[in-house]
Amino acid sequence: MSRQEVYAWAAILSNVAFLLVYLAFVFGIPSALAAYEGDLTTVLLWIVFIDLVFQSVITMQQRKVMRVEKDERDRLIESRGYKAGYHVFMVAMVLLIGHLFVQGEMASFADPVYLARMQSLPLHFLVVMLVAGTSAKSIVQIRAYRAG
Amino acid sequence: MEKTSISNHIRHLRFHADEMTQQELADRIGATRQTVHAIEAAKYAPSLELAFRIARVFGKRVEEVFVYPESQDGTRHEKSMY
Repeated sequence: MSRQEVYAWAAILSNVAFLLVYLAFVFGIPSALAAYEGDLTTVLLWIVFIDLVFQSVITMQQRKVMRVEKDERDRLIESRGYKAGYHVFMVAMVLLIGHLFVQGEMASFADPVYLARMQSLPLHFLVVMLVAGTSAKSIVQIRAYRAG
Repeated sequence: MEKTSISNHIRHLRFHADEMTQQELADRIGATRQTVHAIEAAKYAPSLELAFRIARVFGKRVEEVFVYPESQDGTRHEKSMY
């Protein structure tokens, strides 16, 4: 496994850890899973812990190795990853702009409680799409590395 | 990555260069071992610069290391202008 592939895996792990913690913090644990709240919290903490250990090991190894870490193929694969991330961001932007356009219209007939909830939604949506975009980049990179 | 149409003799040349490892070749051309492996397996076509560097390691010309099949793009060999 190449070093860049390890970085991509690490990025995905960090993204998942961040997303789970963020969603749990913002929206809380889903009511259907309320009975397992303690277990879920433990799992979340373990994911964050594993991520921290993983990142630390990678950083320490990075200091030891004096070889070439990234070359033209890695940059090519990285650019494909950025392309995928860009597409995710573009879809997110189009959805968000569409939502902002119809939000004004919805205000006239929608339920006020629903509208109040909707007002903070774009922010959370942007955060989730940011993570989705960076994850898409890492996934495309890993896929390219796995393919050879 | 998809297989490229450019094949090569790197494995053969490495063997004759005192059984040079992929890592040794990678170190000498400033690339990673994974890239050398991908080039050898014809899964990645290197840039011209990297191709020249590889050829130079073995003391060969680029076309002695890399092979591009003639019928791939319909091009034919014309008489040289020079």
